[in-house]
Amino acid sequence: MTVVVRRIASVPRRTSVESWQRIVELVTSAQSEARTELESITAAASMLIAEEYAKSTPITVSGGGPLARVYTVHGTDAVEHDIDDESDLAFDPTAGDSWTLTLPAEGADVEVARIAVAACAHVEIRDIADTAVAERAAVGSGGRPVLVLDLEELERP
Amino acid sequence: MTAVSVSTATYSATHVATNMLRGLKKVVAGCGLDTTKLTQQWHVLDNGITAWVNSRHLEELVLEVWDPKDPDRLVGRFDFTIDYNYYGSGDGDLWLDPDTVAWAIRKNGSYPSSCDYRIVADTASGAPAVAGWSDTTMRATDGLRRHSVGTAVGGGSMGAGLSYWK
Repeated sequence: MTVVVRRIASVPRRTSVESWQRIVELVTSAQSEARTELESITAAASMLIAEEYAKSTPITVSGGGPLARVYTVHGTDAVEHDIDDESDLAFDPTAGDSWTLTLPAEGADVEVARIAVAACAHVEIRDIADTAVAERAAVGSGGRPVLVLDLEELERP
Repeated sequence: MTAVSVSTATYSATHVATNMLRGLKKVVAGCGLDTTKLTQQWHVLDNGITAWVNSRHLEELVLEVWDPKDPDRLVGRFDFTIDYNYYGSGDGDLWLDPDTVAWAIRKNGSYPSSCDYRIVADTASGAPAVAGWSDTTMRATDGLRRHSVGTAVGGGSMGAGLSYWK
């Protein structure tokens, strides 16, 4: 599967709300139903961005072409972030009706965010703890340690 | 594409505003209250707090807690008080001390989960209007005593001290 990665400067370069607005702008086309749906969860999504969950675990959009992964950049890294790294996608990952956007969360924020996005058919909250367990299980299956080269991580600054 | 062209002072204001709000969210959760209400209002809170730190009108960011059975009486309160000249030189690093927030929560203790809360921005006169915010009067602090735990957030020339009322 083709994976496309973008890193978006967040706090303090942008507020958490502005960060989400930029991400929505990136993954939806203007005046689309997808944009309306994602704008409706601005409060919860901004809270999750402020908590920096997407700093290390990406927001993902799948089902509308290549898998899009969006990380947020925080602190001094955000101030020094190259905005050219935020270029628009060459495709619309939320085209059609079969796309899913996942937002990472952890601890008590998982349930609070799930309640907040319950009305959005295309949005899911991904528990970072479950993701970590799944990744460890995948690496460990077969009974012996397996080294996995994460090419995406190599590209990260 | 959203244009990003802001000064270092704006970065500091955004850092301080965001982390005061995160700090109050930790207080709400740490004191046994439900963060759903705060999460639902996050965009309004973030917009207002950032605007008023940026314009230097925000003096205190306050969490008021009360019992719905006696809504006029304050059960407890946390304040972030901003000093816009905390660092005289104005070049303080962007920092956050989660231990200060954790200490305040520990010293305050929990509230009954039936308690309600709200966030109030105490601003100087002339503060710009922000959508979703309205004027209010804070509850009296009669019978409570203020305890300062130190500065919890800093950036640029600013520092935000945390206090709790018990």
